[in-house]
Amino acid sequence: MKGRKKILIVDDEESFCRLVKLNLEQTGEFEVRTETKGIRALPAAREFKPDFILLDIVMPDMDGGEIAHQLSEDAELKNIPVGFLTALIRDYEVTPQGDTIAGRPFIAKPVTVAQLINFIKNNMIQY
Amino acid sequence: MDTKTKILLVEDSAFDARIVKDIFNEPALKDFILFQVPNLSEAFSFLKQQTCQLILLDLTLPDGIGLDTFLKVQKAQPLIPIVVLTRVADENLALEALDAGAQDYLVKGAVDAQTLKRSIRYAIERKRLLEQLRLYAEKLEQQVNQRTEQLQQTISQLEIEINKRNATEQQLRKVIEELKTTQSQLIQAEKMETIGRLASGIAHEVKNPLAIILQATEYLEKKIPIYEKDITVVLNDLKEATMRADAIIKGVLDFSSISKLDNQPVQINQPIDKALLLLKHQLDKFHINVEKDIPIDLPLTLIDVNKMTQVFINLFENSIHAMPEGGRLEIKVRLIKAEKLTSHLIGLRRQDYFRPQDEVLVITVEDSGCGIPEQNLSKVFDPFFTTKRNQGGTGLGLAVVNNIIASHKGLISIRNKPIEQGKGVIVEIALKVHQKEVYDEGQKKDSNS
Repeated sequence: MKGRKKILIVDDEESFCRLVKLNLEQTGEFEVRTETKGIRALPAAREFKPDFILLDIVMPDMDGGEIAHQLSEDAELKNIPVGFLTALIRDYEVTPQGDTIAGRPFIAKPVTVAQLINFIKNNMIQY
Repeated sequence: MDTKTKILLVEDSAFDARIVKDIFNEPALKDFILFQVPNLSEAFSFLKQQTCQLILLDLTLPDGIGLDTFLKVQKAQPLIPIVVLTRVADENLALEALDAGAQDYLVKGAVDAQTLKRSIRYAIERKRLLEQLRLYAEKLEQQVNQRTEQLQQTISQLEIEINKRNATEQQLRKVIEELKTTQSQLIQAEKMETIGRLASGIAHEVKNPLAIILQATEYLEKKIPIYEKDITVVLNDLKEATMRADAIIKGVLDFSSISKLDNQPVQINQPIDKALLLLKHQLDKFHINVEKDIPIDLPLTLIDVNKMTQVFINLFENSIHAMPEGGRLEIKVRLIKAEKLTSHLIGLRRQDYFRPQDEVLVITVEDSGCGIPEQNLSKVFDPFFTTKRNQGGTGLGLAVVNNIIASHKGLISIRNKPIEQGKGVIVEIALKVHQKEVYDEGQKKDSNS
Protein backbone atom coordinates (compact mmCIF):
# COMPACT_ATOMS: atom_id res chain seq x y z
CA MET A 1 0.00 0.00 0.00
CA LYS A 2 2.87 2.34 0.70
CA GLY A 3 4.07 4.45 -2.24
CA ARG A 4 0.56 4.81 -3.75
CA LYS A 5 -0.23 8.46 -4.41
CA LYS A 6 -3.37 9.81 -2.79
CA ILE A 7 -5.73 11.64 -5.12
CA LEU A 8 -8.81 13.60 -4.02
CA ILE A 9 -11.42 14.12 -6.73
CA VAL A 10 -14.23 16.65 -6.25
CA ASP A 11 -16.92 16.41 -8.94
CA ASP A 12 -20.70 16.60 -8.68
CA GLU A 13 -21.10 13.74 -11.22
CA GLU A 14 -21.30 10.75 -8.94
CA SER A 15 -20.82 8.10 -11.61
CA PHE A 16 -17.83 9.96 -13.03
CA CYS A 17 -16.21 9.98 -9.59
CA ARG A 18 -16.88 6.27 -9.15
CA LEU A 19 -15.42 5.35 -12.54
CA VAL A 20 -12.30 7.53 -12.24
CA LYS A 21 -11.68 6.01 -8.81
CA LEU A 22 -12.02 2.49 -10.24
CA ASN A 23 -9.76 3.26 -13.21
CA LEU A 24 -7.02 4.97 -11.25
CA GLU A 25 -6.93 2.43 -8.42
CA GLN A 26 -6.89 -0.41 -10.98
CA THR A 27 -3.40 0.76 -12.01
CA GLY A 28 -2.10 0.08 -8.50
CA GLU A 29 -0.41 3.49 -8.47
CA PHE A 30 -3.13 5.53 -6.80
CA GLU A 31 -5.45 5.64 -3.84
CA VAL A 32 -8.51 7.75 -4.64
CA ARG A 33 -11.11 9.46 -2.50
CA THR A 34 -14.08 11.20 -4.14
CA GLU A 35 -16.44 13.93 -2.99
CA THR A 36 -19.57 15.04 -4.88
CA LYS A 37 -20.19 18.17 -2.78
CA GLY A 38 -17.88 21.17 -3.15
CA ILE A 39 -18.39 22.07 0.46
CA ARG A 40 -16.90 18.72 1.51
CA ALA A 41 -13.61 19.39 -0.32
CA LEU A 42 -11.66 21.10 2.47
CA PRO A 43 -12.69 18.75 5.34
CA ALA A 44 -11.92 15.76 3.12
CA ALA A 45 -8.51 17.18 2.22
CA ARG A 46 -7.64 17.75 5.88
CA GLU A 47 -8.64 14.21 6.70
CA PHE A 48 -7.25 12.38 3.63
CA LYS A 49 -4.05 14.44 3.12
CA PRO A 50 -3.95 13.91 -0.65
CA ASP A 51 -0.88 14.33 -2.91
CA PHE A 52 -3.07 15.89 -5.59
CA ILE A 53 -6.54 17.40 -5.75
CA LEU A 54 -8.59 17.25 -8.96
CA LEU A 55 -11.47 19.78 -9.05
CA ASP A 56 -14.46 20.10 -11.32
CA ILE A 57 -15.24 23.76 -11.99
CA VAL A 58 -19.01 23.96 -12.39
CA MET A 59 -20.74 22.45 -9.36
CA PRO A 60 -24.13 23.34 -7.82
CA ASP A 61 -23.08 24.24 -4.27
CA MET A 62 -19.58 25.69 -4.64
CA ASP A 63 -17.52 26.17 -7.75
CA GLY A 64 -14.07 24.68 -8.21
CA GLY A 65 -12.38 28.07 -8.47
CA GLU A 66 -13.69 29.02 -5.04
CA ILE A 67 -12.48 25.74 -3.54
CA ALA A 68 -9.01 26.30 -5.04
CA HIS A 69 -8.95 29.79 -3.55
CA GLN A 70 -9.89 28.52 -0.07
CA LEU A 71 -7.26 25.80 -0.33
CA SER A 72 -4.59 28.38 -1.18
CA GLU A 73 -5.48 30.38 1.94
CA ASP A 74 -5.39 27.38 4.26
CA ALA A 75 -2.00 27.08 6.00
CA GLU A 76 -2.25 23.31 6.23
CA LEU A 77 -3.51 22.68 2.70
CA LYS A 78 -1.97 25.42 0.56
CA ASN A 79 0.95 23.30 -0.62
CA ILE A 80 -1.16 20.48 -2.06
CA PRO A 81 -1.09 20.76 -5.88
CA VAL A 82 -4.50 21.33 -7.48
CA GLY A 83 -5.70 20.75 -11.05
CA PHE A 84 -9.01 21.43 -12.75
CA LEU A 85 -10.91 18.89 -14.78
CA THR A 86 -13.68 20.59 -16.72
CA ALA A 87 -16.03 20.38 -19.69
CA LEU A 88 -15.84 24.15 -20.02
CA ILE A 89 -12.71 24.31 -22.11
CA ARG A 90 -11.30 22.70 -25.22
CA ASP A 91 -8.00 20.89 -25.37
CA TYR A 92 -6.27 23.29 -27.79
CA GLU A 93 -6.69 25.95 -25.15
CA VAL A 94 -4.28 24.01 -23.00
CA THR A 95 -0.67 23.17 -23.71
CA PRO A 96 0.75 19.90 -22.35
CA GLN A 97 2.75 21.97 -19.88
CA GLY A 98 -0.60 23.30 -18.84
CA ASP A 99 -2.05 26.73 -19.28
CA THR A 100 -3.70 27.75 -16.10
CA ILE A 101 -6.96 28.95 -14.65
CA ALA A 102 -6.22 31.19 -11.65
CA GLY A 103 -2.69 29.83 -11.56
CA ARG A 104 -3.80 26.18 -11.70
CA PRO A 105 -3.37 23.67 -14.52
CA PHE A 106 -6.45 22.24 -16.17
CA ILE A 107 -7.52 19.43 -18.47
CA ALA A 108 -10.62 19.12 -20.67
CA LYS A 109 -13.41 16.56 -20.33
CA PRO A 110 -13.83 13.98 -21.73
CA VAL A 111 -10.45 12.55 -20.87
CA THR A 112 -8.90 9.11 -21.29
CA VAL A 113 -7.37 7.31 -18.33
CA ALA A 114 -3.92 7.68 -19.88
CA GLN A 115 -4.34 11.43 -20.36
CA LEU A 116 -5.56 11.85 -16.80
CA ILE A 117 -2.65 9.91 -15.29
CA ASN A 118 -0.24 11.91 -17.42
CA PHE A 119 -1.83 15.16 -16.22
CA ILE A 120 -1.68 14.14 -12.56
CA LYS A 121 1.93 13.03 -12.77
CA ASN A 122 3.01 16.17 -14.59
CA ASN A 123 1.49 18.42 -11.97
CA MET A 124 2.19 16.55 -8.77
CA ILE A 125 5.04 17.72 -6.61
CA GLN A 126 8.01 15.45 -7.26
CA TYR A 127 9.42 14.05 -4.06
CA MET B 1 -40.78 115.29 -108.60
CA ASP B 2 -39.20 112.78 -106.27
CA THR B 3 -42.52 111.27 -105.36
CA LYS B 4 -42.97 110.07 -108.95
CA THR B 5 -42.44 106.41 -109.66
CA LYS B 6 -39.38 105.91 -111.82
CA ILE B 7 -39.67 103.45 -114.70
CA LEU B 8 -36.73 102.36 -116.83
CA LEU B 9 -37.58 101.33 -120.37
CA VAL B 10 -34.98 99.15 -122.07
CA GLU B 11 -35.86 99.29 -125.76
CA ASP B 12 -33.62 99.51 -128.83
CA SER B 13 -36.34 100.31 -131.34
CA ALA B 14 -36.86 104.04 -131.45
CA PHE B 15 -40.29 103.46 -132.89
CA ASP B 16 -41.45 101.19 -130.15
CA ALA B 17 -39.91 103.47 -127.54
CA ARG B 18 -41.79 106.39 -128.98
CA ILE B 19 -45.09 104.59 -128.62
CA VAL B 20 -44.38 103.81 -124.95
CA LYS B 21 -43.28 107.35 -124.23
CA ASP B 22 -46.49 108.68 -125.77
CA ILE B 23 -48.55 106.54 -123.50
CA PHE B 24 -46.64 107.82 -120.43
CA ASN B 25 -47.44 111.35 -121.50
CA GLU B 26 -51.11 110.69 -121.03
CA PRO B 27 -52.61 112.18 -117.84
CA ALA B 28 -53.44 108.70 -116.41
CA LEU B 29 -49.72 108.07 -116.03
CA LYS B 30 -48.74 111.47 -114.66
CA ASP B 31 -47.38 109.91 -111.48
CA PHE B 32 -44.75 107.98 -113.44
CA ILE B 33 -41.54 109.25 -114.89
CA LEU B 34 -39.96 107.26 -117.72
CA PHE B 35 -36.28 106.82 -118.55
CA GLN B 36 -35.18 104.99 -121.66
CA VAL B 37 -31.97 103.18 -122.61
CA PRO B 38 -31.36 101.26 -125.86
CA ASN B 39 -29.45 98.21 -124.58
CA LEU B 40 -28.50 96.13 -121.53
CA SER B 41 -25.08 97.63 -120.88
CA GLU B 42 -26.59 101.13 -120.75
CA ALA B 43 -29.36 99.81 -118.54
CA PHE B 44 -26.80 98.45 -116.09
CA SER B 45 -24.77 101.69 -116.03
CA PHE B 46 -28.03 103.67 -115.55
CA LEU B 47 -28.90 101.48 -112.57
CA LYS B 48 -25.48 102.03 -111.08
CA GLN B 49 -26.18 105.79 -111.00
CA GLN B 50 -29.73 105.70 -109.76
CA THR B 51 -32.51 103.35 -108.94
CA CYS B 52 -35.94 102.79 -110.38
CA GLN B 53 -39.10 101.15 -109.21
CA LEU B 54 -39.74 99.06 -112.31
CA ILE B 55 -38.07 97.94 -115.50
CA LEU B 56 -39.93 97.61 -118.78
CA LEU B 57 -37.79 95.19 -120.70
CA ASP B 58 -37.80 94.40 -124.40
CA LEU B 59 -36.48 90.90 -124.87
CA THR B 60 -34.85 91.53 -128.26
CA LEU B 61 -31.87 93.83 -127.73
CA PRO B 62 -28.51 94.20 -129.46
CA ASP B 63 -26.70 92.74 -126.42
CA GLY B 64 -29.36 90.34 -125.24
CA ILE B 65 -31.67 87.87 -126.92
CA GLY B 66 -34.77 86.15 -125.69
CA LEU B 67 -35.20 84.79 -122.15
CA ASP B 68 -31.49 85.25 -121.51
CA THR B 69 -32.03 89.03 -121.59
CA PHE B 70 -34.53 88.77 -118.78
CA LEU B 71 -32.41 86.44 -116.69
CA LYS B 72 -29.38 88.75 -116.87
CA VAL B 73 -31.38 91.77 -115.68
CA GLN B 74 -33.12 89.81 -112.95
CA LYS B 75 -29.83 88.47 -111.71
CA ALA B 76 -28.30 91.96 -111.60
CA GLN B 77 -31.36 93.59 -109.98
CA PRO B 78 -33.28 90.94 -108.07
CA LEU B 79 -35.28 93.51 -106.09
CA ILE B 80 -36.69 95.52 -109.04
CA PRO B 81 -39.86 94.16 -110.61
CA ILE B 82 -39.59 93.52 -114.32
CA VAL B 83 -42.42 93.69 -116.89
CA VAL B 84 -41.54 92.14 -120.24
CA LEU B 85 -42.47 93.76 -123.58
CA THR B 86 -43.13 91.40 -126.48
CA ARG B 87 -44.49 91.23 -129.94
CA VAL B 88 -47.65 89.25 -130.64
CA ALA B 89 -45.56 86.41 -132.14
CA ASP B 90 -43.43 86.11 -129.00
CA GLU B 91 -46.14 85.27 -126.52
CA ASN B 92 -44.55 81.85 -125.64
CA LEU B 93 -41.31 83.57 -124.79
CA ALA B 94 -43.25 85.97 -122.55
CA LEU B 95 -44.84 83.05 -120.69
CA GLU B 96 -41.38 81.55 -120.08
CA ALA B 97 -40.27 84.87 -118.63
CA LEU B 98 -43.28 84.84 -116.29
CA ASP B 99 -42.25 81.36 -115.16
CA ALA B 100 -38.74 82.60 -114.51
CA GLY B 101 -40.00 85.46 -112.33
CA ALA B 102 -41.18 88.37 -114.51
CA GLN B 103 -44.14 90.19 -112.97
CA ASP B 104 -46.15 90.61 -116.14
CA TYR B 105 -45.86 90.89 -119.91
CA LEU B 106 -47.28 93.48 -122.25
CA VAL B 107 -47.82 92.94 -125.96
CA LYS B 108 -46.50 95.88 -127.95
CA GLY B 109 -49.22 97.83 -129.73
CA ALA B 110 -51.97 96.40 -127.52
CA VAL B 111 -51.30 98.58 -124.54
CA ASP B 112 -53.24 101.61 -123.39
CA ALA B 113 -52.59 103.93 -120.52
CA GLN B 114 -54.99 102.23 -118.14
CA THR B 115 -53.63 98.72 -118.78
CA LEU B 116 -50.10 99.93 -118.39
CA LYS B 117 -50.84 101.79 -115.20
CA ARG B 118 -52.58 98.78 -113.66
CA SER B 119 -49.85 96.39 -114.80
CA ILE B 120 -47.12 98.59 -113.34
CA ARG B 121 -48.93 99.06 -110.01
CA TYR B 122 -49.65 95.35 -109.68
CA ALA B 123 -46.11 94.42 -110.65
CA ILE B 124 -44.59 96.73 -108.05
CA GLU B 125 -47.00 95.58 -105.36
CA ARG B 126 -46.58 91.90 -106.23
CA LYS B 127 -42.81 92.19 -106.19
CA ARG B 128 -42.98 93.97 -102.83
CA LEU B 129 -45.15 91.19 -101.40
CA LEU B 130 -42.96 88.51 -102.90
CA GLU B 131 -39.90 90.16 -101.41
CA GLN B 132 -41.62 90.39 -98.06
CA LEU B 133 -42.61 86.75 -98.35
CA ARG B 134 -39.05 85.83 -99.21
CA LEU B 135 -37.79 87.73 -96.15
CA TYR B 136 -40.36 86.04 -93.96
CA ALA B 137 -39.38 82.66 -95.36
CA GLU B 138 -35.73 83.46 -94.74
CA LYS B 139 -36.46 84.56 -91.21
CA LEU B 140 -38.58 81.49 -90.63
CA GLU B 141 -35.84 79.26 -91.92
CA GLN B 142 -33.41 81.02 -89.63
CA GLN B 143 -35.73 80.48 -86.70
CA VAL B 144 -36.24 76.85 -87.61
CA ASN B 145 -32.48 76.39 -87.82
CA GLN B 146 -32.04 78.09 -84.47
CA ARG B 147 -34.72 75.95 -82.90
CA THR B 148 -33.26 72.81 -84.42
CA GLU B 149 -29.89 73.71 -82.98
CA GLN B 150 -31.40 74.40 -79.57
CA LEU B 151 -33.27 71.12 -79.73
CA GLN B 152 -30.12 69.27 -80.61
CA GLN B 153 -28.35 70.92 -77.67
CA THR B 154 -31.21 69.95 -75.39
CA ILE B 155 -31.09 66.40 -76.72
CA SER B 156 -27.38 66.06 -76.08
CA GLN B 157 -27.84 67.57 -72.60
CA LEU B 158 -30.60 65.04 -71.99
CA GLU B 159 -28.32 62.28 -73.19
CA ILE B 160 -25.64 63.40 -70.73
CA GLU B 161 -28.28 63.58 -68.00
CA ILE B 162 -29.54 60.08 -68.88
CA ASN B 163 -25.98 58.72 -68.76
CA LYS B 164 -25.46 60.38 -65.37
CA ARG B 165 -28.66 58.90 -64.06
CA ASN B 166 -27.74 55.47 -65.35
CA ALA B 167 -24.40 55.73 -63.57
CA THR B 168 -26.12 56.86 -60.36
CA GLU B 169 -28.60 54.03 -60.68
CA GLN B 170 -25.77 51.55 -61.07
CA GLN B 171 -24.03 53.00 -58.03
CA LEU B 172 -27.28 52.79 -56.09
CA ARG B 173 -27.68 49.19 -57.13
CA LYS B 174 -24.18 48.45 -55.92
CA VAL B 175 -24.87 50.17 -52.60
CA ILE B 176 -28.09 48.19 -52.23
CA GLU B 177 -26.19 44.98 -52.97
CA GLU B 178 -23.61 45.92 -50.35
CA LEU B 179 -26.34 46.74 -47.85
CA LYS B 180 -27.97 43.40 -48.52
CA THR B 181 -24.66 41.65 -47.97
CA THR B 182 -24.07 43.57 -44.75
CA GLN B 183 -27.59 42.79 -43.60
CA SER B 184 -27.18 39.08 -44.24
CA GLN B 185 -23.79 39.19 -42.56
CA LEU B 186 -25.41 40.83 -39.52
CA ILE B 187 -28.18 38.25 -39.48
CA GLN B 188 -25.57 35.53 -39.88
CA ALA B 189 -23.49 36.99 -37.01
CA GLU B 190 -26.54 37.16 -34.78
CA LYS B 191 -27.48 33.59 -35.65
CA MET B 192 -23.95 32.48 -34.92
CA GLU B 193 -24.01 34.18 -31.56
CA THR B 194 -27.27 32.46 -30.62
CA ILE B 195 -25.94 29.14 -31.84
CA GLY B 196 -22.73 29.84 -29.95
CA ARG B 197 -24.50 30.41 -26.64
CA LEU B 198 -26.70 27.38 -27.22
CA ALA B 199 -23.74 25.26 -28.30
CA SER B 200 -21.52 26.07 -25.33
CA GLY B 201 -24.42 25.29 -22.99
CA ILE B 202 -25.11 22.00 -24.70
CA ALA B 203 -21.41 21.20 -24.99
CA HIS B 204 -20.90 21.45 -21.25
CA GLU B 205 -23.91 19.28 -20.51
CA VAL B 206 -23.01 16.68 -23.12
CA LYS B 207 -19.31 16.50 -22.34
CA ASN B 208 -19.97 15.37 -18.76
CA PRO B 209 -21.89 12.25 -19.78
CA LEU B 210 -19.31 11.64 -22.53
CA ALA B 211 -16.60 11.74 -19.87
CA ILE B 212 -18.50 9.11 -17.91
CA ILE B 213 -19.02 6.89 -20.97
CA LEU B 214 -15.31 7.12 -21.78
CA GLN B 215 -14.24 6.26 -18.25
CA ALA B 216 -16.75 3.40 -18.10
CA THR B 217 -15.60 1.97 -21.40
CA GLU B 218 -11.97 2.08 -20.32
CA TYR B 219 -12.90 0.43 -17.03
CA LEU B 220 -14.70 -2.41 -18.81
CA GLU B 221 -11.77 -2.85 -21.24
CA LYS B 222 -9.58 -3.72 -18.31
CA LYS B 223 -12.15 -6.07 -16.79
CA ILE B 224 -13.06 -8.12 -19.89
CA PRO B 225 -10.72 -11.03 -20.64
CA ILE B 226 -8.86 -10.55 -23.90
CA TYR B 227 -10.37 -13.72 -25.49
CA GLU B 228 -13.89 -12.19 -25.34
CA LYS B 229 -13.35 -10.87 -28.89
CA ASP B 230 -16.91 -9.65 -29.55
CA ILE B 231 -17.03 -7.67 -26.33
CA THR B 232 -13.63 -6.13 -27.01
CA VAL B 233 -14.83 -5.01 -30.45
CA VAL B 234 -18.03 -3.57 -29.01
CA LEU B 235 -16.10 -1.64 -26.38
CA ASN B 236 -13.77 -0.27 -28.99
CA ASP B 237 -16.76 0.87 -31.08
CA LEU B 238 -18.20 2.51 -27.98
CA LYS B 239 -14.96 4.37 -27.30
CA GLU B 240 -14.61 5.56 -30.90
CA ALA B 241 -18.21 6.73 -31.01
CA THR B 242 -17.62 8.71 -27.81
CA MET B 243 -14.53 10.39 -29.27
CA ARG B 244 -16.47 11.18 -32.43
CA ALA B 245 -19.30 12.78 -30.48
CA ASP B 246 -16.70 14.84 -28.63
CA ALA B 247 -15.08 15.92 -31.90
CA ILE B 248 -18.41 17.03 -33.31
CA ILE B 249 -19.29 19.02 -30.20
CA LYS B 250 -15.88 20.63 -30.32
CA GLY B 251 -16.36 21.46 -34.00
CA VAL B 252 -19.74 23.09 -33.47
CA LEU B 253 -18.36 25.00 -30.50
CA ASP B 254 -15.37 26.20 -32.51
CA PHE B 255 -17.55 27.16 -35.43
CA SER B 256 -19.98 29.15 -33.37
CA SER B 257 -17.76 30.86 -30.83
CA ILE B 258 -15.57 33.15 -32.89
CA SER B 259 -17.51 36.36 -32.42
CA LYS B 260 -15.20 37.94 -29.87
CA LEU B 261 -11.45 37.97 -30.31
CA ASP B 262 -8.86 38.44 -27.61
CA ASN B 263 -6.24 40.12 -29.79
CA GLN B 264 -2.63 40.57 -28.70
CA PRO B 265 0.43 41.63 -30.68
CA VAL B 266 2.54 38.46 -30.99
CA GLN B 267 5.07 36.74 -33.21
CA ILE B 268 3.31 34.58 -35.77
CA ASN B 269 5.42 31.54 -34.81
CA GLN B 270 3.69 31.44 -31.39
CA PRO B 271 0.40 29.85 -32.53
CA ILE B 272 2.26 27.77 -35.15
CA ASP B 273 4.60 26.28 -32.54
CA LYS B 274 1.74 25.71 -30.11
CA ALA B 275 -0.22 23.82 -32.77
CA LEU B 276 2.83 21.73 -33.73
CA LEU B 277 3.46 20.86 -30.09
CA LEU B 278 -0.15 19.72 -29.58
CA LEU B 279 0.04 17.56 -32.70
CA LYS B 280 3.56 16.25 -32.07
CA HIS B 281 2.30 12.77 -31.24
CA GLN B 282 0.32 12.46 -34.49
CA LEU B 283 3.10 13.96 -36.60
CA ASP B 284 5.58 11.44 -35.20
CA LYS B 285 3.14 8.56 -35.51
CA PHE B 286 2.61 9.15 -39.23
CA HIS B 287 6.30 9.96 -39.93
CA ILE B 288 5.69 13.48 -41.09
CA ASN B 289 8.69 15.77 -41.47
CA VAL B 290 7.99 19.33 -40.43
CA GLU B 291 10.06 22.02 -42.15
CA LYS B 292 9.71 25.52 -40.77
CA ASP B 293 11.01 28.59 -42.57
CA ILE B 294 10.08 31.54 -40.37
CA PRO B 295 12.48 34.54 -40.35
CA ILE B 296 13.09 35.82 -36.81
CA ASP B 297 12.93 39.54 -37.68
CA LEU B 298 9.28 39.53 -38.81
CA PRO B 299 6.97 42.25 -37.46
CA LEU B 300 4.31 41.32 -34.91
CA THR B 301 0.73 40.59 -35.85
CA LEU B 302 -2.39 41.37 -33.84
CA ILE B 303 -4.19 38.06 -33.30
CA ASP B 304 -6.14 35.93 -30.86
CA VAL B 305 -3.47 33.32 -30.16
CA ASN B 306 -5.91 30.58 -29.10
CA LYS B 307 -8.08 31.02 -32.17
CA MET B 308 -5.08 31.23 -34.47
CA THR B 309 -3.67 28.10 -32.84
CA GLN B 310 -6.92 26.41 -33.70
CA VAL B 311 -6.50 27.54 -37.31
CA PHE B 312 -3.10 25.86 -37.53
CA ILE B 313 -4.27 22.74 -35.70
CA ASN B 314 -7.11 22.31 -38.16
CA LEU B 315 -4.82 22.89 -41.17
CA PHE B 316 -2.08 20.59 -39.88
CA GLU B 317 -4.62 17.88 -38.99
CA ASN B 318 -5.97 18.01 -42.54
CA SER B 319 -2.44 17.60 -43.84
CA ILE B 320 -1.78 14.70 -41.47
CA HIS B 321 -4.97 12.97 -42.65
CA ALA B 322 -3.84 13.46 -46.25
CA MET B 323 -0.46 11.76 -45.56
CA PRO B 324 -1.19 8.43 -43.80
CA GLU B 325 2.00 7.00 -45.29
CA GLY B 326 4.13 9.89 -44.10
CA GLY B 327 5.32 12.99 -45.96
CA ARG B 328 6.42 16.58 -45.63
CA LEU B 329 4.74 19.55 -43.97
CA GLU B 330 6.31 22.89 -44.89
CA ILE B 331 5.45 26.08 -43.04
CA LYS B 332 6.79 29.29 -44.50
CA VAL B 333 6.21 32.93 -43.48
CA ARG B 334 7.08 35.93 -45.64
CA LEU B 335 6.50 39.69 -45.60
CA ILE B 336 4.91 40.63 -48.93
CA LYS B 337 3.25 43.68 -50.54
CA ALA B 338 -0.52 43.15 -50.66
CA GLU B 339 -0.69 44.03 -54.36
CA LYS B 340 1.23 40.81 -55.14
CA LEU B 341 -1.69 38.73 -53.80
CA THR B 342 -4.92 38.11 -55.65
CA SER B 343 -8.09 38.85 -53.77
CA HIS B 344 -11.19 40.96 -54.26
CA LEU B 345 -10.53 42.40 -50.79
CA ILE B 346 -7.35 44.24 -51.72
CA GLY B 347 -7.97 47.80 -52.89
CA LEU B 348 -8.84 51.30 -51.77
CA ARG B 349 -12.51 50.78 -50.91
CA ARG B 350 -13.66 51.05 -47.31
CA GLN B 351 -14.60 47.38 -47.15
CA ASP B 352 -11.20 46.19 -48.40
CA TYR B 353 -8.98 44.41 -45.88
CA PHE B 354 -5.69 45.55 -47.40
CA ARG B 355 -4.41 48.56 -49.34
CA PRO B 356 -2.27 47.52 -52.32
CA GLN B 357 0.83 49.08 -50.71
CA ASP B 358 0.36 47.37 -47.31
CA GLU B 359 2.99 44.94 -46.10
CA VAL B 360 1.30 41.66 -45.28
CA LEU B 361 2.39 38.56 -43.38
CA VAL B 362 1.84 35.59 -45.67
CA ILE B 363 1.88 32.14 -44.06
CA THR B 364 2.12 29.22 -46.46
CA VAL B 365 1.30 25.68 -45.29
CA GLU B 366 2.25 23.05 -47.84
CA ASP B 367 1.92 19.25 -47.60
CA SER B 368 2.85 16.31 -49.79
CA GLY B 369 -0.49 14.59 -49.33
CA CYS B 370 -3.11 13.35 -51.76
CA GLY B 371 -4.37 16.81 -52.72
CA ILE B 372 -8.01 17.90 -53.13
CA PRO B 373 -10.10 16.84 -56.14
CA GLU B 374 -10.55 19.99 -58.28
CA GLN B 375 -14.35 19.76 -58.13
CA ASN B 376 -14.19 19.99 -54.31
CA LEU B 377 -11.87 23.00 -54.08
CA SER B 378 -14.72 25.51 -54.13
CA LYS B 379 -16.60 23.68 -51.38
CA VAL B 380 -13.90 23.07 -48.78
CA PHE B 381 -14.81 26.17 -46.77
CA ASP B 382 -18.53 25.31 -46.67
CA PRO B 383 -19.74 24.28 -43.21
CA PHE B 384 -20.48 20.55 -42.97
CA PHE B 385 -18.79 19.72 -46.28
CA THR B 386 -16.66 16.61 -45.66
CA THR B 387 -15.42 13.57 -47.57
CA LYS B 388 -14.63 11.83 -44.27
CA ARG B 389 -18.05 11.72 -42.60
CA ASN B 390 -17.68 7.96 -41.86
CA GLN B 391 -14.28 8.58 -40.25
CA GLY B 392 -15.63 11.12 -37.81
CA GLY B 393 -15.17 14.24 -39.96
CA THR B 394 -17.53 17.05 -39.02
CA GLY B 395 -16.98 19.21 -42.10
CA LEU B 396 -16.35 22.14 -39.81
CA GLY B 397 -12.54 22.25 -39.75
CA LEU B 398 -11.93 24.56 -42.70
CA ALA B 399 -15.18 26.45 -42.10
CA VAL B 400 -13.84 27.34 -38.66
CA VAL B 401 -10.47 28.27 -40.16
CA ASN B 402 -12.17 30.48 -42.71
CA ASN B 403 -14.31 32.20 -40.06
CA ILE B 404 -11.38 32.85 -37.78
CA ILE B 405 -9.23 34.27 -40.59
CA ALA B 406 -12.12 36.45 -41.77
CA SER B 407 -12.74 37.72 -38.23
CA HIS B 408 -9.08 38.82 -38.18
CA LYS B 409 -9.70 40.58 -41.51
CA GLY B 410 -7.19 38.25 -43.08
CA LEU B 411 -7.29 36.32 -46.33
CA ILE B 412 -7.11 32.59 -46.96
CA SER B 413 -6.83 30.60 -50.15
CA ILE B 414 -6.40 26.90 -50.80
CA ARG B 415 -5.12 25.21 -53.95
CA ASN B 416 -3.39 22.10 -55.21
CA LYS B 417 0.34 22.22 -55.95
CA PRO B 418 1.26 22.74 -59.60
CA ILE B 419 1.58 19.29 -61.23
CA GLU B 420 5.36 19.57 -61.73
CA GLN B 421 5.86 19.87 -57.94
CA GLY B 422 4.05 16.58 -57.23
CA LYS B 423 0.86 16.11 -55.24
CA GLY B 424 -0.19 18.13 -52.23
CA VAL B 425 -2.12 21.15 -51.04
CA ILE B 426 -0.96 24.73 -50.52
CA VAL B 427 -2.84 26.91 -48.06
CA GLU B 428 -1.99 30.60 -48.02
CA ILE B 429 -3.01 32.93 -45.19
CA ALA B 430 -2.45 36.69 -45.25
CA LEU B 431 -2.56 38.64 -41.98
CA LYS B 432 -2.22 42.30 -41.11
CA VAL B 433 1.06 43.51 -39.71
CA HIS B 434 0.60 45.05 -36.25
CA GLN B 435 0.94 48.84 -36.42
CA LYS B 436 2.68 49.74 -33.17
CA GLU B 437 1.73 53.44 -33.19
CA VAL B 438 -1.96 52.73 -33.58
CA TYR B 439 -1.85 50.20 -30.78
CA ASP B 440 -0.03 52.54 -28.40
CA GLU B 441 -2.49 55.29 -29.12
CA GLY B 442 -5.34 52.91 -28.32
CA GLN B 443 -3.62 52.03 -25.04
CA LYS B 444 -3.24 55.69 -24.14
CA LYS B 445 -6.89 56.38 -24.83
CA ASP B 446 -7.86 53.44 -22.66
CA SER B 447 -5.78 54.64 -19.72
CA ASN B 448 -7.18 58.16 -20.03
CA SER B 449 -10.78 57.09 -19.92
